[in-house]
Amino acid sequence: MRRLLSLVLAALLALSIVGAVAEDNDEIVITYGKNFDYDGKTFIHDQTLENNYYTQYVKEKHNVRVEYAWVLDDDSQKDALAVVSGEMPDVMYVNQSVFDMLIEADMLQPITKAFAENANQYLREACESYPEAYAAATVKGELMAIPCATVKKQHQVVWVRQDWLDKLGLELPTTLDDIVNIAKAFIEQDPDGNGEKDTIGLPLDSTYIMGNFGRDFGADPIANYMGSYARQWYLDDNGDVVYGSLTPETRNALEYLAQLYADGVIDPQFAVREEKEAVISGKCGIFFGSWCTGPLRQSYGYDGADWVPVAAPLDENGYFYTTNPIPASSYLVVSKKCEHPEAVIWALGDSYEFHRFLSGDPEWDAKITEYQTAGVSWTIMPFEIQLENEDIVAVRGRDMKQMVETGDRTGVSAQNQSFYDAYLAWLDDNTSLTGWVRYKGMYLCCNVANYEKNVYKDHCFWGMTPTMSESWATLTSMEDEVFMKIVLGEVGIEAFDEFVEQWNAQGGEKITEEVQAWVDARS
Amino acid sequence: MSAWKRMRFRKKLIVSYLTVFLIAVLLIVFYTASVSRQTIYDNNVGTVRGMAEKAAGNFDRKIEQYNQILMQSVYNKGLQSVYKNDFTSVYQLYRKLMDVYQPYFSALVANSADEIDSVCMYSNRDLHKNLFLNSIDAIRGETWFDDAFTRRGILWHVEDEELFATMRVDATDSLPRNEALGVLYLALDSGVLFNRYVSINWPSYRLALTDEDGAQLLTYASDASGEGDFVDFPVKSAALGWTLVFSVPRSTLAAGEHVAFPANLPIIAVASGLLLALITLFTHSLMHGLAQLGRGIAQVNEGNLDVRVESDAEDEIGMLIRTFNRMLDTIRSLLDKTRENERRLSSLEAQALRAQIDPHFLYNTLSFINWKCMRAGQDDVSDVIGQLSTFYRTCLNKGRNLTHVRTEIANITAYINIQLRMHDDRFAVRYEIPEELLECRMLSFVLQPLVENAILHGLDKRREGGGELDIRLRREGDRLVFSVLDNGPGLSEEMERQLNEPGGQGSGYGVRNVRDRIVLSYGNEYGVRAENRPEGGCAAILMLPVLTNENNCDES
Repeated sequence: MRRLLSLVLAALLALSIVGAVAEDNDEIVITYGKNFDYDGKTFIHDQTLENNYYTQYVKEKHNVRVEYAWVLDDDSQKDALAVVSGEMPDVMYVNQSVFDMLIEADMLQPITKAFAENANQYLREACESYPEAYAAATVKGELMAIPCATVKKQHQVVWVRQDWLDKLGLELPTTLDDIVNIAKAFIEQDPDGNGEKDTIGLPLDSTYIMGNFGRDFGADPIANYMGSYARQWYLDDNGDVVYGSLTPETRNALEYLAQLYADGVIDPQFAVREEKEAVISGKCGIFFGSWCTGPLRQSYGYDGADWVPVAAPLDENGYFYTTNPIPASSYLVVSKKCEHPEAVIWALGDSYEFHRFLSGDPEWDAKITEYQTAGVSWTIMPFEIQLENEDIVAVRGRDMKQMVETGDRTGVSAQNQSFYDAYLAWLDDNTSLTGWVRYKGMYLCCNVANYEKNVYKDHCFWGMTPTMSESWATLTSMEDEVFMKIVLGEVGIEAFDEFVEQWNAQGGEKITEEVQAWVDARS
Repeated sequence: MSAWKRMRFRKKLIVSYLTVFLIAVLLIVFYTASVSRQTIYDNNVGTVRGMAEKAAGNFDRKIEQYNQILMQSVYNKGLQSVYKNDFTSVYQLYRKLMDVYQPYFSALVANSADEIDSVCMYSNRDLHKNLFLNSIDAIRGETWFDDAFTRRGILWHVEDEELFATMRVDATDSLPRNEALGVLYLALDSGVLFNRYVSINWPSYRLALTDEDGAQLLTYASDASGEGDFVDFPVKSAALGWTLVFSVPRSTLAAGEHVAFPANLPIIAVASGLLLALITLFTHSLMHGLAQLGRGIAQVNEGNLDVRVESDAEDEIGMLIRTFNRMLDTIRSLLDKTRENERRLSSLEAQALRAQIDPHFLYNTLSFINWKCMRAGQDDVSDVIGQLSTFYRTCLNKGRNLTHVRTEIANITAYINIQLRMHDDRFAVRYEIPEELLECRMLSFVLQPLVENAILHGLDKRREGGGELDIRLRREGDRLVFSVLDNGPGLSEEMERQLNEPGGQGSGYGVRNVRDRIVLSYGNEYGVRAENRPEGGCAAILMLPVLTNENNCDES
């Protein structure tokens, strides 16, 4: 009898051990094709993509683990391959065209229900704050993806070196002429004081002269001021669809830029060199960039450069012209074969909960602070989709203003408070890059970006029409070439008219009709 | 040492066998292990050297490959136009960069599968920082700049653990100008290179690239471990004139060490088992003869001389056993002889004794004396002499040892009669002799000494008269038991002891002689015993075997 009893106990023990192991089978595993570039990324404590504070938080809260089907720094091809082969991991993060293809191939499952039931407060707020983005991700009334909403207010403004202005006795620019004059002064008057004429005026981006939202060195402030919205589909006052690259305003802007180039105001080498190098090496004192511009970070501490953002050029009534971004350009999609869509929502919600200091647990808050101090990129979170409230930039600017100017922290989110703390640390010892960036980017520029007299132009269309799939590549490369040639002075402005003709003839006209049809159908 | 002495012989055999075996085996094992260790070490060294040379060959091939790439990049026509930067407009340069220059180098880097770290043309023709492009001012301060800018051909360098090649770029379609167009710079990921092409298939190793002076340029380790002593395998790189030094932990070269010895253990175990079985068999066979011999000797020690141990072995032990048997035979025959001699001696002595008494002379003299007495009318004396004659007649017995009971009784009667006369008939004598026993044979002249003692030491010692002498005979089984009883004072302890002790001094010759003769003739179960009677007096008991006429008798 005793023997039987001990046998039974042993069996129970074995079962419980198996059960304990099997209990880990309650863990939900989601496969995901990750877009990630290891270059320049920091990991601390020997952490990896598979094991870091984000993944640990997700595992702790909902026992979900994300397995990476691939990790590539440009997985757009891999995404497209997935569509073609019909095989995809549970989750992918795709661009607009792949998203459209997946919808057409019926490979995605609707996540309306999963989202409604499992999204945490943060996700819900983000969703509600950006209806356009969520509309972009909705097909036939079902939410088919989590859209990566492009946060507004990240447009270019003018960054200018206060120390050079001071040296040359100049004021912050307001008008377009101010900008041009300052640029000229920076070229001529040896602001870096080394006796050599090695400083440039205005840098310009060679890939996107204009028409790329938030792009460093893009001339959009000038173009938008002149009513030109290149590369953008928008509605004119009659409700007709306009492709911004073809308008007379664009023609004028190009002509103006060509003149600036001919006068040497624009960096003569802009087409053949990395413009950020000039900023970083102190050869440039004025450029167009957004509140989180990269070169700013890299030029930190260089010979006393004191960059200041300004909303310019303003028209005679003080208005600053800019655009709103395409609401969503990337989408986090869930495969039809995924058995636990709710796990995807959980993982996403948990990652952001941790990231935004919303865990409610000081231990986890300390960990995210550790990440921010060490400069660990947020993209190591399982699903590296950017989810913010639509007005996050504005709120951040407002909060920083409140804290910096009054020291008052009421109503400020934990994350924004951490930015203020970093700024205070920088005030103390003037060494922390992060603190400096918080100051310049967040405090100063967010508020500049939130300039109350901004005038925004919205996109009315940003997808792919049938004809676009065939001809769009050719048309855009034609556009790039013509614009570049014009600005460089290689051809005269008449080339623009030719370009418009060619563009329409080679499919552009048809495309315009298609877009119009799409817009009409939507409204 | 004393433990060895205490050990039984069989155990000693086993211990000896085992010791010899173990010593032999261990010597062989250690020798072979040592030899095989050395062989394995040498093999491994050879293997590693072979692999190192192969890896170095791979390295050279890779360097050659990149040399080719560099040359192609420098002499490429489309790229040359960019290097020269003779464009009439920025746009043309821009187009060339977009359409030719960047795609070429992007493809190069992409196709190198992570081997190329970076590639850049440092231009002396007013080209600025861009993809795969930079101003030569960026490298003017480098230590390797002068060499790279002034010397022609491809130079390989290692700086800050970066392996890179530089090649001065000159225009190909015209005479070289005074100043080069720039320097093309190609940096390789040495980790990827070493891991992929310059690796050896060894559990743990280090690789160091050293220059002509032996200074270490680059290092690479296959894994994190790296303790202890390392053995170096330098191989010169033909392509660069540098040396690749592969270092392997000495312990991995001698890895076979732990293999050689344990491999032998099963064999040793099997052999030991076999050995033990054989030992058991052999010792049993060896010990068998000895054990038997030992048992035989033990028996002899207890007095059994009839032991015989069998052996037909032809070894020393067999010989020992057979010698033992012969020895026993010898002893037995010696003993028999001795007994024989003793018997002979005593019979000779008896003979000699009897010979002292010449019977004829005695009879004649006594007869004469008797006649004279009868003529003189002395009947008493004649009677005594007649008794004496009877006495000596029956005593001498024609010289024979054995006599009849009748004769012996006659003898003793004559003696007693004489004594009676001498004692004035002062004691009584009674005879109880059964008739059927008269014809039994017995040793002669055995009673007289006893009777003599009974009279001399018994009856004569009585102070008052009334002495009584009893002569009795009875048969007990196969024994004749004579009793000579007197009612004298009896024996003292001293006398009793002396009389009864074998070989004891006794009261003179008589009793001792009787006892000894009886014992020698018939053994210890017969003989003479004297004891005090319960009613007082002494009893002399004589025990003789019953002999009929058929029994052997010594006809001496």
